[in-house]
Amino acid sequence: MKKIVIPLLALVTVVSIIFAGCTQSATPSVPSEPEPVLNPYEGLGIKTDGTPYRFAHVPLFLYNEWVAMGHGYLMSAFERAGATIDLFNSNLDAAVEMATLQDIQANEYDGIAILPVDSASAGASIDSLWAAGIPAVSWDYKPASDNLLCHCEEDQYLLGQVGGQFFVDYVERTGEPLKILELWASMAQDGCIRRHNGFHSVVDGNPLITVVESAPTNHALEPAQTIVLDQFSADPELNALWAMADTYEGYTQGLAFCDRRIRIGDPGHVVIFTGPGEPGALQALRDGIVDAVGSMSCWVECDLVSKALLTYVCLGEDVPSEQFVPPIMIGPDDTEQPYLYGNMRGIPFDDWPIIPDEYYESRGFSDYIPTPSK
Amino acid sequence: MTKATEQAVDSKKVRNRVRRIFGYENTILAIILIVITAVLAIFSKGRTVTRANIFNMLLNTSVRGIASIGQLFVILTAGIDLSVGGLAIFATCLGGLWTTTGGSPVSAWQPVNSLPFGLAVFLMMIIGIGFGAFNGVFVSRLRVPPLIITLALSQILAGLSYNATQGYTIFNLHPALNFFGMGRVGGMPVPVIVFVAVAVVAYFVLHYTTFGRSVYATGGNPVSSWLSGLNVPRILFSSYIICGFLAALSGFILLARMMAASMNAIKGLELDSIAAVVVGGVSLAGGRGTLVGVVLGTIILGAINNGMNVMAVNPAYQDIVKGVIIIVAVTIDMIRRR
Repeated sequence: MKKIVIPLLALVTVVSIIFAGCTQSATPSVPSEPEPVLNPYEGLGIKTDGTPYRFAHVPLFLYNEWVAMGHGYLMSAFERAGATIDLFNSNLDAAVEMATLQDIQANEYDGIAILPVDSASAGASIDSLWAAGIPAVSWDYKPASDNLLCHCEEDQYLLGQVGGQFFVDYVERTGEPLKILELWASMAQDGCIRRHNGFHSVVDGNPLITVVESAPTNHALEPAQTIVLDQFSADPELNALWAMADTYEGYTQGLAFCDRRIRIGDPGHVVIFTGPGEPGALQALRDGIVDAVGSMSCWVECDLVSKALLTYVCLGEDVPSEQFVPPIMIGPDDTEQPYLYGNMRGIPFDDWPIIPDEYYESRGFSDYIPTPSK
Repeated sequence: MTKATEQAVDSKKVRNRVRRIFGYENTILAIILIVITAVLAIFSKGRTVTRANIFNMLLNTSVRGIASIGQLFVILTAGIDLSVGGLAIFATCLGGLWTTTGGSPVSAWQPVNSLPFGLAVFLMMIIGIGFGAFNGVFVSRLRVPPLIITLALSQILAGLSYNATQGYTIFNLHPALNFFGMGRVGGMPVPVIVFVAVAVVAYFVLHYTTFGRSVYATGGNPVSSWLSGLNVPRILFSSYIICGFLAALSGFILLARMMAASMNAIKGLELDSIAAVVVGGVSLAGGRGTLVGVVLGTIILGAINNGMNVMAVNPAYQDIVKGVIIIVAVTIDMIRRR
């Protein structure tokens, strides 16, 4: 047995050392836009005694690019302010989330950002944090608590409506009936249910649109591929896809395997509306595979979260209790517009821009939290 | 002999014949598969039994099938491996990081320049073997319960996968991967060919080698096996290595099918593989079960999944149906064994 184990372990060790050695000199290739802005937060995260404000971030899971980039944005913002932010993981488990929030309370953080496991789970813990003087700001999913400082979201119900309207406009423009596969993400998450409801509020009753609901992917790629492959193979009448969450790589591979990944304009093209605008989906827009993307930007949501916490905790000023930003539709010609998180892959956090106030005004959202500054 | 006696003898013969048919572990599974296929075909108006759909179903089954064969080796020794899913994902993430050609590194696990394709695949398999050996050492030498050590390793691998990818989805992978995920040979999808090849090799190992018979003996009665001169720790160790290797191989096929690596690529692979093994008639107590049974079990679960997708069954009922099928299959198996 030693004849196998020792060489094996030696090989693994050598390989690990080789990789550890060869990866340190990476020089990221920096895409050209958008330009980093000046640091409006400078000094904001430092207390009068010279110590930094301490913030915590508690997302529902870590295994998803969308959450990863949201956390990256928070890190970028708080560290520019001179504050610190610690990352925790609820691992899609409400009990873990509750225990984490209790630990945060015991460790006397100055404020928390939370993307809760579901609407109901974190409410009591947030009440308890508030009583202990620790304000909580949520993003994407709104917890049920009267003591939440602020909730920030690109409105998910409206995102569903934007998607539905895209398909309604399509059938009206072309006269072509659509049989749409609605690719569910999670049936247990409030945000997904709201996207679903928003979508159906627009398409239901349209005589040219039929919707077939799928089993949930739970945000995983392999089920997305399997479901799309199975259903598009079995039902040749399916000619459109509404993918409510970020499984682009999965469902396009599923379409490819049944020869339905066809460019816009070519016969047999599957009309696709998807969210939230991950790098792969933006690339697919450029490649003419996806017709349109509904923005559900982790950047926008986390920008508002950081501004709410910095304004309230560091400046001591009140903030609105809700920030529901109307989502936008990104078409093939819009992929290079600024502040799309899907374009930021590979740019170091330190070079990420802080979203300016003008951006929200340009999107017709006037009730935004202004950029705080000393 | 009176007429009544003759009738009684005939009736007994028929009963014995039926019992003999159902006595073969895999016959009943094949019957279940045929019944399920027929039911699905009726309800889907034949859409589930087209050539294209059968290939789709087998294609979608391939990743889980390969992992299930690995799980079979471990369960035959009365063990269990809950790290299969974590290991497949970790191998997928590393494979993605090592073969991606686009963008700047997302973590220190990603080399500046992508590795040669063959080397990357080789290292993925080594990772699988290495972590299989990790489980094997703890189970065979340190007598740590397999449930505990493999669960712990699964947690470690989840952390490593996040550390490696930082939560990002890795794409722009080496084009050669496409052949292993999307390619066809003689009309047959490559992942299915890999699955069949693994099954054939595993069948040969389990039924025609001393090692295979030792795996059954070890699971059936480890003490007797040891007293008979079998090197039980080595057999346990080797079984976990095989399971680790096949987990990495299923991760490779997953990577090739997705042409993307994500720590969120697949969920519950370990439980799916255990379910396939159990539905396949393998005893969780070890020592009993066949590879053909596991292949049939995998296909049964795949067919159900596929059929419900094809028929667009209300998603709320899909999990219920799958759970009921597993209970029915296991119950039938238990009754049959009495």
